[in-house]
Amino acid sequence: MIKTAFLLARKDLIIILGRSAGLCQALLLGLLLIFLFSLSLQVGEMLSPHSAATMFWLASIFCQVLIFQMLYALEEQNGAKAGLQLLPCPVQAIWLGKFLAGILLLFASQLLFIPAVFVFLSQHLGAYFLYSLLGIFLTDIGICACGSLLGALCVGQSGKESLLSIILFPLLIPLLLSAISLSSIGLLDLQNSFVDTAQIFQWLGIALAFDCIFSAVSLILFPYLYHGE
Amino acid sequence: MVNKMKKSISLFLAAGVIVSTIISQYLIYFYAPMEQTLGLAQKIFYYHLPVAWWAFVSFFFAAVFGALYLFKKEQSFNILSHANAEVGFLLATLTLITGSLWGKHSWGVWWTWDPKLTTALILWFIFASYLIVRSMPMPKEQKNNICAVIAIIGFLDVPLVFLATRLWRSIHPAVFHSSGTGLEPEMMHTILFCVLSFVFLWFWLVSYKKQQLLQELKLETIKTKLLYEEEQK
Amino acid sequence: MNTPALTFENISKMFDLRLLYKNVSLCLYPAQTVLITGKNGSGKSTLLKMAADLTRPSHGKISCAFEKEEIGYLGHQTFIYPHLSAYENLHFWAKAFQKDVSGQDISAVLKKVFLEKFCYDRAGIFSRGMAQRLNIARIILQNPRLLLLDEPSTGLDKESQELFYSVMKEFQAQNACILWVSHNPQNDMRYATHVLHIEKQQITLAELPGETA
Repeated sequence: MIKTAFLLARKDLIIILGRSAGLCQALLLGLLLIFLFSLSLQVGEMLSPHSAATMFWLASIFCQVLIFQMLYALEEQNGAKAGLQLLPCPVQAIWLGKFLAGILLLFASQLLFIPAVFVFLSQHLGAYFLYSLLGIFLTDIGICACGSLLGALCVGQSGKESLLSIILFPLLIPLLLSAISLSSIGLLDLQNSFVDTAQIFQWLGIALAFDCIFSAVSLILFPYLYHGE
Repeated sequence: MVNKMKKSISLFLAAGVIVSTIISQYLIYFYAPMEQTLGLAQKIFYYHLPVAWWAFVSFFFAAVFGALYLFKKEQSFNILSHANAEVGFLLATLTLITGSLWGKHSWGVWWTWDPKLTTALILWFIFASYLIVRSMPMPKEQKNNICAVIAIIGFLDVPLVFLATRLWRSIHPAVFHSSGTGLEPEMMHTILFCVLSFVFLWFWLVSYKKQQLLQELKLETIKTKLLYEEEQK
Repeated sequence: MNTPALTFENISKMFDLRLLYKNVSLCLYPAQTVLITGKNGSGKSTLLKMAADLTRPSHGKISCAFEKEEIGYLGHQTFIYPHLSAYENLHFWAKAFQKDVSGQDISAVLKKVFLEKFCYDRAGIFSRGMAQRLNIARIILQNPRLLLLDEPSTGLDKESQELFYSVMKEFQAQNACILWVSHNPQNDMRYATHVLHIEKQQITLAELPGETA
């Protein structure tokens, strides 16, 4: 199963990174969102780390919706979806494959969004940025677990981008609250430099719980979404 | 025989709805004392709490029956899940409206990131998309599966949303937990009666929706059968 | 001949709200080539999908003597990723079906289906005939023992059709069990050993007399 998942992820990455401009669209959308938000700043004004972190995650989840929509659209042509269902491995391998490809693409996009937050939203690195990195890592796992599950649900539907967003965004809210809190402590706050370290661990705990619950649920429920007619 | 029994159950429920509504209105306006600071607006509370509770119960059943449908593949579970989701959505809408009015009056804002309010809103969003998927054209079995999955993950999200928003910030009054909420015993009795007697209305709504969905399925089956026989000639 | 390749036991299948099969049973053996006939919408493709475990019966049990990697499905849909080259497509599907193939194996198969010149071209530019030949190459590499054919020769030119028939004969020679839905049953009857007819939610299996062509 793991081997097939890697094979699928490799194939998806070759197509998306090497053979199409799909990821560039998602990246540009994310960058534009961050850039446009800098309009809300007065000249010389600094955005609070909290707002900057929120923008970062908004860009990330919009990008992620496009990524998973793209990953599942690969199988829509020529009936390749049926081909994957015929493979001699558990259907969950497809979920895992898309998850792996998706999380790598999301990491890659965030490598671009992080500098964008510093450049456009004039942020500075704070003392707790290692916790922020851990938070980004845990959040991405949860986001991609849900994205990989729900991406399967929208295969072949009309208006799938908006359908995916309206189901995914409310579901991700607990994870996003944790992500925003964890990311903002990694940025330097000039007004309020107090950071409650006990809260950091509580947020990390929530992110971890989300990852565990939704990875487990995805593994159980994915076959019902990807099997059949 | 079965029909007769169904009819009498339905009549019993209808009677229950009428009687319990009259009693609860009496309790709300004549038995329970007027709140000193909030005044008449506090009465919203007696409507808000029952709809909120039973919305939550509906969503719980929507998820449970969704899971049962996935594992047992029985049509009746699917229909029950659908009926509960729709009733739950209606009640959640009412919860949000009454909650918002209450919030404006007592906290001065229509909306705040309070755990209970946020949880209700998120459930409302998730089940709104559930109902959107229900109305989309796609093969029946696929649609049923998708909806069951949405109901399950939506409900599993609840504890996380609750914990996360509580950590975010909170000003919602915790009614039954702490002792210092200042509720008079008469108020307590009224609330309890309102919440418990709501079971009649809730059950009546769910069973009506279930009945309607069953009829719809029967009708569609007959239609497809006729269409197919026509084609075969 | 003694162990059945595929058995259907008391199968009923609902498609949406329609009953396609009512309590049908069926037993197929290796080296049989079964042509499936029936009207449009009688559930010919659904029978193949049930055999491939792409869809489950509403009631009853299906058992297959083969592992999943030994079941090949060749439909009018080609399973081709348009952004990958012919070579990459074959490599991916062979690996996914857990076949250990070398580059030489793939080149040999591409030669057999007259695509060696287009080995490194994106499959997205292929014509219908070329794409289906690539699909046939995938099946050759997979080398299944149960072959499910869902109108594979629809829209093929003469050359590609002949290739398809010759490949099928090779599978017959290897005693594969073949289930075949054809868009041209009158013509394809001569390649089959059995005919399976679907009518009024029931199926009848009849052996064809004489030699196969």
